[in-house]
Amino acid sequence: MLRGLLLVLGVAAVLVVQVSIAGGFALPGGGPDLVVPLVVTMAFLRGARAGALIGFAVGLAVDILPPSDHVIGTQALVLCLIGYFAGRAGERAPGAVLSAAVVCAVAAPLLSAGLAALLGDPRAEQAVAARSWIPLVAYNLLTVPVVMWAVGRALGKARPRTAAVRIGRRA
Amino acid sequence: MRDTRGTRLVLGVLLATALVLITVDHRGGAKSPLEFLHGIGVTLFTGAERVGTNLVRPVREFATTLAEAPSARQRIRALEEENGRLRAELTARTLDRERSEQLRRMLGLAGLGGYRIVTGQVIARRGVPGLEEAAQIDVGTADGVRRNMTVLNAQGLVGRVVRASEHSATVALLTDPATAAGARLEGGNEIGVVKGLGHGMGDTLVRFRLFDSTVSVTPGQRIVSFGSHNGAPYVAGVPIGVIERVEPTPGELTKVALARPYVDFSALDVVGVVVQGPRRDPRDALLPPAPGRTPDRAAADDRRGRVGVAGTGRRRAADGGA
Repeated sequence: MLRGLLLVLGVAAVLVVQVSIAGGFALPGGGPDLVVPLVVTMAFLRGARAGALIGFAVGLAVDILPPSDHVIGTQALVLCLIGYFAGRAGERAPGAVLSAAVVCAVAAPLLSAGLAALLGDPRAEQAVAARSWIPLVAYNLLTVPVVMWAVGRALGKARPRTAAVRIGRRA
Repeated sequence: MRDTRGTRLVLGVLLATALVLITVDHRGGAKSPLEFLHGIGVTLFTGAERVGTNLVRPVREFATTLAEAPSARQRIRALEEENGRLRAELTARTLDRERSEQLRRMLGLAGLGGYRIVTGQVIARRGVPGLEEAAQIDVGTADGVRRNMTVLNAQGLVGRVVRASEHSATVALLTDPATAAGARLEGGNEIGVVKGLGHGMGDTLVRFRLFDSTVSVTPGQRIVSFGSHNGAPYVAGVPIGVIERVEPTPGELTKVALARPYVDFSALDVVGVVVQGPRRDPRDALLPPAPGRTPDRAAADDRRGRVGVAGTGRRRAADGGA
């Protein structure tokens, strides 16, 4: 119970750090996106069902986190799918967290872009442009190990990989 | 197997919920029934964002100080020189003020009315590709900020307010691909639309589409905001940027150029919200001095031209319009 509360607070803190840092530092390529790695690692450790739920909840938080000016529900949908597939990957191949993270890092902006295109939003073409998501993937490669370690600690397991294996067997 | 089916059910329910949310919010537009969710977001997160920004600011300032240390001494000397010159000019100006006031009234420029500005600080900023380019500022309806007001800073046009709550407001930036602002080429009447391109690889440009393809556009020309009806969402005369290159668009009815904004969108801090626009279009008066002019003239222009945000909060019209 307490751990769950701490986890929620931790996720909220990551979201706030995301918007504070992006505004505070002029990082090349717009800086890292911490949200996708966070969802991927949590889903990877917890499995597909929990991953979908976590993704949906975090996505909804991203949708309403100020400053927001997009249609509510888009990030919930995208991160729900990302969480589900990362959880699936965690159940099937517990060692492949980095490759799962990379696939998700590429897929998330593309999914967002697809949704934006369906809604007639002009941001769609920007998201697909390689110049904006190549740095994003690079940043994700750097942040995933850190997030993985932090999430592993937060979930109370010193070694994430063994934790993933245990959950994977049970599922 | 049972577990997989359960998982798929959960996923299906969640996706359906998300789709319902998207449909409701998209159809509702600005009057969406889900608007209250943004209110919840503001209540939940703005406090934390304020704290976060306050924690980040000293670190950032330390980094900038380190980066700028070598040039600081030179800059101090230049500023001291300028300060002395300005002080001398100020004395002269006090003497002239009364006379110029009369002249101005005579010329009918008295109603030139400046921008009334409420200043605020950026407390959160988004810039992930595919999502909005937006910033959250710490002034809201309690300070007179409303939806569709122009936001600017000392360099130029920043964006417009898309949502205002009591003590904070959301600003869609000029670089957001979903925003479009009317713009005018310096020194003429050629108008067009500026649209954001987002940012990638640390490169922030905006696209300027001129409505008249026969107009010649050259790199180095400057653009200002054209102004919308009743000054909402954009007031007229705010500097936007400098044309960097012209894109070849053979056979099209419009001309497209890429412009570099005056505002550094990667380091937004203090911004001003225009709560009352100028009564008359200040034309090109607010543009910073063009490179290559005589220093005297440029310095004078600089003083007149900058939109004073940080210090006074309110810009005197007479200084800008002369």
